[in-house]
Amino acid sequence: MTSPLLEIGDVVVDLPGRGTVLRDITLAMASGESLGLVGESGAGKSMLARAVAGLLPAGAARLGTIRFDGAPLSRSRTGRDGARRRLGMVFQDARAHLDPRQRIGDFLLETTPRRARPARLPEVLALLDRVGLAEPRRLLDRYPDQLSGGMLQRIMIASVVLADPALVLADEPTTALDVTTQAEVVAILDELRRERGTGLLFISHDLDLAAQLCDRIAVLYAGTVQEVAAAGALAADPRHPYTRALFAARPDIERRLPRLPAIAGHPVAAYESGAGCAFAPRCDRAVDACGTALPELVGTEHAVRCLVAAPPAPATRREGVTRC
Amino acid sequence: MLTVSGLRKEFPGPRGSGTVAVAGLDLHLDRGECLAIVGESGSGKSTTARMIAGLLAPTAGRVVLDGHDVSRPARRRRDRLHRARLLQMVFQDPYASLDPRQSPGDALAEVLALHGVRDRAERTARVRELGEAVGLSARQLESRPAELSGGQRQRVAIARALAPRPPVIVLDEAVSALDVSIQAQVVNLLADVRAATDTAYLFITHDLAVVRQVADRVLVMRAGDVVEQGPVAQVLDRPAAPYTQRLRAAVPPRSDGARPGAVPHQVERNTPPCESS
Repeated sequence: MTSPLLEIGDVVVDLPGRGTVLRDITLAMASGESLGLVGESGAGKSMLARAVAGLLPAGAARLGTIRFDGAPLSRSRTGRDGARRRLGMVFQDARAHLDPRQRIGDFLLETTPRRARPARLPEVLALLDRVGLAEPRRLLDRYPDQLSGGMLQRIMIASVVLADPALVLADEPTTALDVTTQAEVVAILDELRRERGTGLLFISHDLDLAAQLCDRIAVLYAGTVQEVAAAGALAADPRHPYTRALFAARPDIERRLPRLPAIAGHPVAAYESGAGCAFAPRCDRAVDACGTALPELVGTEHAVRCLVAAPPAPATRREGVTRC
Repeated sequence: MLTVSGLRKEFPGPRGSGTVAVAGLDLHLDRGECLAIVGESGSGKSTTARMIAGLLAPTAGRVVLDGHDVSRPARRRRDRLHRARLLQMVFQDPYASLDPRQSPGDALAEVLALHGVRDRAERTARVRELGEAVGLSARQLESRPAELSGGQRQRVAIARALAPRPPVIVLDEAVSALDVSIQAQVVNLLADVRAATDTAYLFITHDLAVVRQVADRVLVMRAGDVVEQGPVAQVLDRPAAPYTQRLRAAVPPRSDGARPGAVPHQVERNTPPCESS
């Protein structure tokens, strides 16, 4: 990676009254790349998104650096945040981010000066059509509460794309949607990214969905990156016991298992975990040393933060997994 | 055990317009069986569950539970208790259905007292037994709901549903909001409970992978209608209705082994704008 689009270095986030929610986060994304952040409750995936977006809760302390497009990002978003100008955001609940009294057309052209709007209109209409919305001209006169959640999420994506972002940050953009609508929204995100060479930071609790959409996956647990690898390599050869357990615990739509291999205990946040590996209390491979010190994230292409991580699978098995 | 025929629900709208949420549904559930109802939002699956549980009066149709006609919500306390002994419900969000000031143990004891377990020692023994059945420790039974995780709270909700030993439990998206690792625990727990007690489940969900794991038969709903039903293996492996096929195809492929999924691009994308109700 010559010049990363997004570079997150040793980021630690502490929240007032709670404590550490992210620790030692180091991740980089190349321009045009898609990276999936996957984890369960308390993993810190949304907090990491908020750190990048400059939307951390009031009083939060952030250490470390976040660089985007070559410039360091400030801790919180300012009125005219030049550095974050080419960062687009899509959230879980589109409705909550739209003004119910504002027509869709006014929302989409909000940042365009009134004089320049007629010239911009063809582009807006083409884009609405591009995200799969029929009769875009009629749509411009509608209000958010006249539209379904899936349609609003398409409008949010269109509004983000209009700003020509270098990176789109999508935080569980399809979690509130039905599965058929989810498939459509994911297809749109993927197509736009490929057409425009935009980077995509995709946050999800759904490992399969992230693997379907993203080039690489980072698995988070208790505010720490546990494993990062190409999506295909991670699926074929998960090395961290947590990643393995997470893959195994999913019900399989293809076949019924005699029993789901559940993980004992429940996910914890970083501030609830001790000095060592946060997953150690739930890990069936943990040794005494796991409880005393946080292991380093080791590896470049396929990095793992575990003392007892499974060794790489034999090369013969890994050859077939280059992602198409 | 449970027979539903011609179940229908219309919600009146302004100026004589109205919405048909459920357009005449038939189903039966045998003792110890698990029937899943799947569908997306607006399919009518939750409305169906609420009518069967007696939380909502049907516009038409009959619900017969263990030989008793329970088509109308129970009015008298005696009828409500009788019905509660036949059918219990578990919801998606156990936090909203637990009293924040009451310990799980006290909540269970209260349900037992309501259903005729008068002896205090017997209640205590039954609470411990229910706790064990759902994997809650004595300490967790004494804690406040706020101190429990989402999965533990759902265990409390399941224990409470089991307390009157009902032959039927309706589970409305009961595992949908749980983390994957916790969902697996609760899915296993539900299977154990069914094997041990022969309780029948009406399992409302949008998740086809969960259906495969827990259900014997499945009924697919769309916009108030049943579009397909049959044994789980048949419906998931050889879906006949175009809608079931679309639903099945929309689930991201399992990214195991050397087959990472790719985003399919042949999906139907053009949704006409419509006024939401």
